[in-house]
Amino acid sequence: MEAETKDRSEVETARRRDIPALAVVAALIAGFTFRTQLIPVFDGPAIQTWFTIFVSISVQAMPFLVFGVVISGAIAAFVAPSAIARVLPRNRFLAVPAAGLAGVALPGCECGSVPIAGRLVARGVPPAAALTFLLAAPAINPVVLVATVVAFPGQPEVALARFLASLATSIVVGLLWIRLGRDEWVDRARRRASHGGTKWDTFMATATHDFLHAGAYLVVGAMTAATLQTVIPRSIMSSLAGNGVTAVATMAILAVVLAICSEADAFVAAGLSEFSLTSRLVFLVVGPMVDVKLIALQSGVFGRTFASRFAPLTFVTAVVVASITGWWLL
Amino acid sequence: MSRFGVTVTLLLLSAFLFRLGFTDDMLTYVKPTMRPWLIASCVVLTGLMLRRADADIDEWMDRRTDGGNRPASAEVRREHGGPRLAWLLVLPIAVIFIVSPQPLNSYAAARQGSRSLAPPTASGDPFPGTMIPEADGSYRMSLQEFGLRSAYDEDRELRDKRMHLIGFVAPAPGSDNSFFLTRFVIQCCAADGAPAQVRVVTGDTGNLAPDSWVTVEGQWQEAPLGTTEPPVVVADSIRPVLAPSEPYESPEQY
Repeated sequence: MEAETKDRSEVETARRRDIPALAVVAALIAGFTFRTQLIPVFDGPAIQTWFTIFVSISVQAMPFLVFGVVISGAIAAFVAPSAIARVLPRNRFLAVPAAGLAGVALPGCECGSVPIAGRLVARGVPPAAALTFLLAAPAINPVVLVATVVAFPGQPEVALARFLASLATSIVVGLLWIRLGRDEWVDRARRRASHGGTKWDTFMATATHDFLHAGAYLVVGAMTAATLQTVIPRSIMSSLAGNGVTAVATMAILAVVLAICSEADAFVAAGLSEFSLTSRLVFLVVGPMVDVKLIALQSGVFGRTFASRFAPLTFVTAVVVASITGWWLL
Repeated sequence: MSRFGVTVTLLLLSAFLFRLGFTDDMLTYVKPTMRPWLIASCVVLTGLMLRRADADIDEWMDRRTDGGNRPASAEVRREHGGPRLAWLLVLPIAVIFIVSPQPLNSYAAARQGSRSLAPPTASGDPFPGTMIPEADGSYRMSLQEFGLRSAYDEDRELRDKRMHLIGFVAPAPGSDNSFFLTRFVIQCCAADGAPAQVRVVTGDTGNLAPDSWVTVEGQWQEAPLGTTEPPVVVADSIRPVLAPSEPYESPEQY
């Protein structure tokens, strides 16, 4: 009897949770049908430009997002963390740069790299190496680098600078962690709830899940970029972008506030053409390593004490290394 | 977001990418080279959507059997919903299907200001060979090339030639006998578009609606080498044309 009631209320809850989906579909159909009446509402030239910019970033980035989650989902499903652990050198100092370079081979959406790093620690990888991997994998994998090349055509040095600065930052943070970090800050590393079923199921479920998360933040990023381009007065943008220090600071803060997936952030950065390449490099290096979403994820997997030390350390290192790399290469 | 919501979102995104991949709508936003990528990602999302739809159907049939005897397979394929934030993904879809944004226009051009043309970096003559006329004796080129030659071509090839240029009309403030013939240049996508502009001097700009596409035939008005102002053309004739399916250009390499 009890089980039956429970099942029925589950069904009720499930039906209620479907309401937003039905509402969205109904709203879209209504909007499409009454298009001609709605268009005058959005007639202003500023809004029209906003729409065009917003949609263009979303469209440009979406294929990269799709392929990024397909690859990272495949890795999450088909490559065991023990395989990674076996490849790294025993010496904890050498393990750090090795882990950084391993990030090239393993495309990881930011969402995925934190739990993977947690599982690496659980499997006995030195924490510093696991953290270096956590920082490097989302930042220097092939999908991200290709996206960066596409976003800045004719300027492949941007992708090179991104690769070098991100790798250097991840290694520096790892080495600093050996010196300054305490292992107990990391022992709350928990396992990610694995999806049941076959590896194929895990792959598709992970890819879908990561795509939805990342897609939402991409849309927020595109909206922000469109707003910066159309709504914020040019005088403010010019003064922010004109001075080297404020440009870097603005881009660094923007990177933290906008948790855009690393496969897509190059396209947002490309649109902010008022800002110098160096300041935009800071955006590209900081973003995959420190942002509001990552801080939340890191708190969840490694604990608050860890996150409150790791995030500022990474942020400062990233800004400094990226600024130097940008000054040198760009 | 419920499990059903995930399927709906994936379906909408697949439709969105389908429309973009198989029509010229995409050219308002991105370069033509993106087409295969849009189609491929449409295929992937459709695949993910079909899998979710399959699981949804299983679950729907479960609910109809009063929740009592669940077949073993449904347990294993219990799908999770998605984050509520993911509903944002519907926004670009809604914008395209309801508002149908136009390509960047004179408002955006006025906000941006003309794209400044950097001097040629290649050593030697960046404009090799003479320009080749069309059958009717006029010379056609992109607004970018026209601007580059005007500012940096030491041979002054543009002199005494009938130019034939195409772009859309952007008002030139503070002038009642000229307007800016404009075309946006995009590096990556429309978000980084910067306008290439040519000032067209003509008798009466009253008939020319902003954002209308025209072809202009006329003579280049010579300016000193290295001038950063937009080049000037004195128009002989201005004719309306259909807006091209590809409104933007890629940057000229020189």
